[in-house]
Amino acid sequence: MEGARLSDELRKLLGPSKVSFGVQDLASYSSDMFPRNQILKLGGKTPEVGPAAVCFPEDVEDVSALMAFCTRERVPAVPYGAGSGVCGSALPVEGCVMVDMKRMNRMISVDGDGGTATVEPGIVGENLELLLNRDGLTLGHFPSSINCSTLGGYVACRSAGQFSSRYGKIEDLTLGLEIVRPGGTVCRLGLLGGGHHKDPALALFLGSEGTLGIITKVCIRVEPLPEKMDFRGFAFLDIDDGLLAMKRIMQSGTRPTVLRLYDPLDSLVAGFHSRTASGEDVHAAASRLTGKKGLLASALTELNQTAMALALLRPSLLNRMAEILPTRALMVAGVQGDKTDVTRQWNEVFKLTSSARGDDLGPEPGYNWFRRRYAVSYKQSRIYAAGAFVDTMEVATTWENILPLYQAVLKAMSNHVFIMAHFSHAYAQGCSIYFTFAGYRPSAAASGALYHRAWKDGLEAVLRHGGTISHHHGVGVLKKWAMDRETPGGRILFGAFKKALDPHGVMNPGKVFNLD
Amino acid sequence: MSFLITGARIRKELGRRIAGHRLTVSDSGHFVQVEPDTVAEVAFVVDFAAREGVKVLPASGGLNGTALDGWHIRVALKRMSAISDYSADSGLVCAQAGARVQDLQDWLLDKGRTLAVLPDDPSDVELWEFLLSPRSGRIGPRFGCKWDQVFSLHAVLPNGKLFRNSLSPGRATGPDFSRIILMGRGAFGLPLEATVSVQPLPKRRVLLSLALSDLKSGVERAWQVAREAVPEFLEIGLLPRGAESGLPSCVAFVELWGEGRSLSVRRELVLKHFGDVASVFDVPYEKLLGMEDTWQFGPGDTVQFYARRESLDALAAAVASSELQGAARLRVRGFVDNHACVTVDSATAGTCGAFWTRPADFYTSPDGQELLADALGVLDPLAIMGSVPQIWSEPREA
Repeated sequence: MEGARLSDELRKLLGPSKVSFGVQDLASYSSDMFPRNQILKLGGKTPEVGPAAVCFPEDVEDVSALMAFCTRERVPAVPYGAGSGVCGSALPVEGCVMVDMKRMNRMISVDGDGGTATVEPGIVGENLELLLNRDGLTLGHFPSSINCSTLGGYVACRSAGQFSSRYGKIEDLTLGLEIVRPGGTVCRLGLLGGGHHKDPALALFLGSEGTLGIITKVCIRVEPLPEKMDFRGFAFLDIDDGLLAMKRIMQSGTRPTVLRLYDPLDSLVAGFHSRTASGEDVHAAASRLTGKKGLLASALTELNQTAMALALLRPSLLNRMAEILPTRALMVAGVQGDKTDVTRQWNEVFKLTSSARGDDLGPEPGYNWFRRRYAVSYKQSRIYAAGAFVDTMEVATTWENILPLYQAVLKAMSNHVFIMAHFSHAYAQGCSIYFTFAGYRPSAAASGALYHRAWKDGLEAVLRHGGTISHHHGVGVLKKWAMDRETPGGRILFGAFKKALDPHGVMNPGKVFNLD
Repeated sequence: MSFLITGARIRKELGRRIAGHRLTVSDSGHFVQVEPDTVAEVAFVVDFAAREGVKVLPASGGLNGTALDGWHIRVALKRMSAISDYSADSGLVCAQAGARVQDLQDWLLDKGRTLAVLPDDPSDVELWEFLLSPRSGRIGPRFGCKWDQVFSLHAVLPNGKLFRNSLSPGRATGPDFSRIILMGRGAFGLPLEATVSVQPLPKRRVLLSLALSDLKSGVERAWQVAREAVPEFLEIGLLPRGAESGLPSCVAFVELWGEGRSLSVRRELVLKHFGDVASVFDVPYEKLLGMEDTWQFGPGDTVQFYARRESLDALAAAVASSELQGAARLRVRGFVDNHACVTVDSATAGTCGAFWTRPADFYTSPDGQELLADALGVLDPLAIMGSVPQIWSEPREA
C-alpha cells in the first residue's frame, strides 16, 4: 500500500497516538536482537528491510480492527514484544506494519486459590513477576531476558525459564489464550474459551511465532511463592559424571528448582577454574598457547576489546584451553519449598550427586550464580563493541544422546568460533545444551560469513545426531532451513493451518517454515 | 469422494505394492482391508486413497458400527507391532502403532519398567487406538494424562505424507503438531510409531483402601491429596452392593510408589488430608480392584465422562442429597490438573449427565473446534480420514 494512504488509514483506524511513521521508530523496529543484524550494524549498515509503520494497539478491539485492515489491504503484520528474540522472529518484511504489543500490559485477573491469572501479552516478564509477587504468587518463569522480554513473546516462541526443571516451560504454564485471527475475528481457547488447558488448539499458537494470529490475552498457571529457595554448587570429576547426577536427580521424582552443569570452558568463565590440570595458572597457559601474554585474562575475564578480537581470530587455540583445563565440572543446583521439604530434597540431591562422585561445594557457587543470573546477556554488548559477535545455540536431546551431540557440535563449530556450553533445563528423559559462541573477523562482511558457517555446521551436527534445533529460542528465520529435517511433514500441517487461518499470508510471513 | 470406485479396483491398485495375502475384500462391508508391513506401505495406501477420494479407517476391534457410504479402505496395523527402540537411560520406548498395549507392557515389565498410563483393558487395545481414543485410561496425579507420556510421534497425514518430530524434550520448533494429531482422534493423521516415557517399577508400593463417610467429603479431600501427596493413582467411588459384601458404600483407593522416608511421608500426607472422613479398612486393595460385581463394570454398561473440579464437586453434592448414593456404581479417577474422569453405569448416566462433558468434546474449546475444522478442510478436503473420529463417538463397550 502506498505510504501516504497507509498513514491516513492507520491514523483513522487507531488514532494518531497509536501509530508512528517516525524515522527513528522505523529504524528501531527494523530488527530484534538477531545477531546477524547486529553484525550488519558492526559494518555501519542497517537492515535492508524496514517496516512501513509501527502501531501500538491498546486493547483487543484495536488489534482486531488492525488485523481486519491488514487482511483486507494485504498489508503484512509483524507482532513485536520487547524485541529480545535472537532468531529473527520479529524481523520486518517489506511494507509491513509492526504491531508493538507493549501497551497491552495489564493484569486482568488473579485467582490465587484456583492457581490462575489472566494477563495481557505485552507485559514485560519482570513486571509480571513483581505484580504476582505482591499477591504472594509466582509464574516461575525466569528467562535470562526477563527484563527485556514479554509474556506474549514467551508464548509465541515456547520459551523456557531458568527454573524450568521445577515449573516447566511456558507451554506447561499456559492454560488459555485469546487470539485475534488475521481477519480480525477474536477466538478464545483453553480455559479462556470454555475448554481444557490441554485444548489442542492452544498447541497451535504456542510456538507459532506470530504467524497465525496475534495473542491478546494469556491465562497462566500461578503458584504460591515458595517459603524458601536454596542453592548450592557441586563439583564432578568430569561432565559425564555431572550428567549422570543430573539424570538420576530428574528420574528420582525430585523437582529441583534449577540444575545447571558447566563444561570446562564455561566453568572457567564462571570463575570455577584458575589452574590447568597440570597446576599451571590458566592465564599463563593461555599465553603459552596463543603466544599473547595476558590474552585470556584480558579477553575472557575482563572483556578487553582488543584482546578479545585477537583471541577470537584464532578460536581453535582458545578452544584448546578446554583440553588443558581440569576436567572437573561445576554444577549449580537449587531446591525450594518449606523447611522440611528443602531438607528432604537436599538429602535426595546429596545422595544422588555422591553416587556420581560429586563433591558438595557449599552454598557459595549456587548463590553466586543466583545473584548474577540475568547478567550474562549484558556482557554481549561489550563483545559487539569489540567488533566481534556472540550468540547462543540452545538444543536438546535425550540422556543417552547428550554427550555425543555435545561433542559433535563442539567439533563442528570449534574451528570457526570460540565455544563453550552448559547443560540445563533438565527432564527425566534428557536436557538442553546451551552453547555460547563468539567469533571475530576484521570486516563485518567476513564476520557475517563466519557467523553463517558456524550456525550451519552447528545445526547440521545437531540434526545428524537427532537432537532438536531449538529448545527455547524458537525458529524465526535463522533455523527455518532446518525445519524440514527437524520435523518432516510439519510444513504440510503448518501450511494447512496457515492457509485456513491466514489465506492471504499477512501474518508475519517468512517465519518458522519455508512455505515458498 | 468417488462413489464409482470398486473393491476390485482398490485391491488391484494396492496390489501393485502390497502382497495379495495382505489384502482382503469384504463385499458385504464395502471395504478392502489392508495389512501393511511398513510405514512406506501405509503412506502408499493413504496416498492412493487421497488421490482417489477413498476414505480410510484404521481397522479396530471397536469400530463401533462406524458406517461409511461406498467403498473404503481399512488399514490393519497389527503387522506393525514391533518394539523398535528402547532406552533405559532416557526412560523411553519406541513401538510401532499396531503393538498391543498389553504386549508392550509385558515386554517392559520384563525389563523392570512400566507404562505410566494404561488403558482399562490393555489386552484389547493397540497402541494407536490407545493414543487416539478420548478415553483416559488409568490415570493419576503423578504422571498426568496419556498424551503427556508421548515423547515423539511418527504418523501418516491424510494426504499420505509422513510426519515425525525429533526425539528431544522441550522442543521450541513451531507448534506441537503431534499434540494436535493425538488429540484430533485420527482426523489429522494416524500414528504409526510412538516413543513414550516409561517408569521404573517402584521399589515399594503403598496401597491404601479407605472407607469414606460420603462421596462429597471424599471428593473435596481428594483434591488436596492430589496436590499435596501427588499419588501415582487415586480413585474414589460408590459401591452399590458394598453393604451386601460387608464393604463400605463409598471408598477411596490410593497407590503410592517409592521407597524410604519419602514414601512414608507421602502416606502420612494422604491420611492427614483425608483425615476424619476416611478410615483404613482391611480388604486388600488389589482384590477390591478386581471385584467385578462391586468396583469393575462389565462390558456394555458404562459411560465415561470428564468433569472439571467444580462440576465434580457439584455432582458429589447432588449425589449426597439423592438416592444415587447406595444405588449407583460410580468411579472417579485422575484428579489431574483440576479435572477427573468419571465412569458410571449407563442407568445412572442420564441422571448425572448434567454435570459432565463427553470425552470427545471435553478438551477443545468451541473456538478451537472451529479453528481445527477450518484447517482440516484444507489439509483433508475430501475428508479421507474425516471418519476416523467416529470410532470413538460412542463408548466402545456400548
